Amino acid sequence: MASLKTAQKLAIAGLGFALSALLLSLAASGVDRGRLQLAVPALGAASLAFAAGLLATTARTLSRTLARVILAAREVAAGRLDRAELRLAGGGEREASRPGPAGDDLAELVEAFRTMIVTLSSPIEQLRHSGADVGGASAQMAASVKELEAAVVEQAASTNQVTATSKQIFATVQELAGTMRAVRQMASQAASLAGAGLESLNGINATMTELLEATAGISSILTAISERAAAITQVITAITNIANRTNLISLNAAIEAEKAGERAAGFSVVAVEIRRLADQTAVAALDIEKMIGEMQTAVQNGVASISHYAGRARASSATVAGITTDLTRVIEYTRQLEPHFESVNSGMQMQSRAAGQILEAMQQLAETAGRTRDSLAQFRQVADHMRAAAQVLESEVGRFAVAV
Amino acid sequence: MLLLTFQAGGARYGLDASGIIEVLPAAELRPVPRAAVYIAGLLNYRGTIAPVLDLNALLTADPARIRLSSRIVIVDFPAADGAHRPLGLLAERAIETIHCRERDFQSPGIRAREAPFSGDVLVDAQGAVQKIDVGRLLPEELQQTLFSPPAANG
Repeated sequence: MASLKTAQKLAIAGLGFALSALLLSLAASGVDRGRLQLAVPALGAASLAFAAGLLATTARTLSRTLARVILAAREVAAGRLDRAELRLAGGGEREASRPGPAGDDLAELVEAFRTMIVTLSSPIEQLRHSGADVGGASAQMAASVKELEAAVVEQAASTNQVTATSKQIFATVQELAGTMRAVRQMASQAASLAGAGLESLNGINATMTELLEATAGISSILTAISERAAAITQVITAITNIANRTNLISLNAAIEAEKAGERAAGFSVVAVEIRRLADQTAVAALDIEKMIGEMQTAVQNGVASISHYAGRARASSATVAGITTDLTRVIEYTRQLEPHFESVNSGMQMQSRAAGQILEAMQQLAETAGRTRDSLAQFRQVADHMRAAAQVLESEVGRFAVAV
Repeated sequence: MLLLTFQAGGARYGLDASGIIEVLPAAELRPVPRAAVYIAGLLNYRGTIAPVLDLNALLTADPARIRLSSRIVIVDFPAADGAHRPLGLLAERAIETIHCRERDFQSPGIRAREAPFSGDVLVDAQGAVQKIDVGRLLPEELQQTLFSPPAANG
């Protein structure tokens, strides 16, 4: 019943409202006044009294409902959707709980308002949640980025250390390779020197052999001289013997001549002359014998010296032969060293190359780390922006209060 | 006169050539057992055994050295019994003869009792030469020992 009355009141009020609205709208739209002036007095006279009575009753109800809607709208504007709902329901005022005489249109408006509030509340609630989520996520992201940055910095430090170590290895290997080259050169020089020494020694050895042969020749010649001297000594002994005999004969002849007296005077003279010649021969033979003796002594000394010299020459020859063998061995060993040097050298070169490659890789790694750091910085900026945006969103959404 | 000279201990001595039979080279002598040092040995001279005196040992007490110039002079020894016997005298450097006169000799003035054979002295360009008196070389007892007839041995 009450609802019917209210509906009637609302219908009448609505009609009056519609009419007044029509009039107002006509007036507002600027319709030709001349034509209207004919109708208005007729209509107005009949309806104006009715409308006046209707308006008087409905205006109050309408204004109350409208006031509720306005309040609700204000709450919505303030973002207080929960309170807007309360206002629509007439919370805070007794009059509002009663259905107004304004009719069903107004009720629909209120209903539509309510629906709108409910419909708005859900996405705002979701937005708030999402804003909180995004804020949390962006904070987490920022933290992760910081950790990542720290890790990247550590990695860069490690990379730098490795790079420095690689550089040291590279330098050491280069130095070692230089030393090896020097050692190789020295070994090669030693080998060539030993070769030259060997040639000289071979020359000395040949000369020694010649000397030994010459010594043997001199020795045999001296022996021959000694033999000749012995033969000469024999001859001289024979001559001396003959001279002695001649002396003896001349002595006996002189004695016989003396016994013979004056008759053998000439014979005596001859005997004396023969003895004189024999004596001279004996003296010459003695001189020669003496010289031969001296010569034989000299030859014997020469033979002894030559023999001594030959012994020493043989010893020297043996020493030279020993040195030659040693030098040959030295050369052989040095030649055997050569391939070892080669392998060491190639190993060093490989090490050097490997160190170079490591260095290159490290440099690439460092570059990559730098790029990663840059990207992370950018990422952090983005995350910061995102967090800021989320905060803005949260504060904006926070202005809305939603009934749960 | 003619002197055959020889040396003993660096001094010159001479033998009268008129008493010399022959000069021989110093040969191997047969030794005389337990004889005095101046008995050089026994010589087979042309089939006759002749004793040989060492003049060097007689004059200097050292035996003569056997050299080419060392010789055995065979002299005609006038024995006490009046017979002449060959006697060998071993001397060093018996290689020269000197012609001289009897009046050129001088008396040495002093003469040892143990050396009755030391004769007069001659001086020439090379120095002094003392003559050896061959007849006084052997004492009579020794002469008997050396030149004893074969009957005495038996």
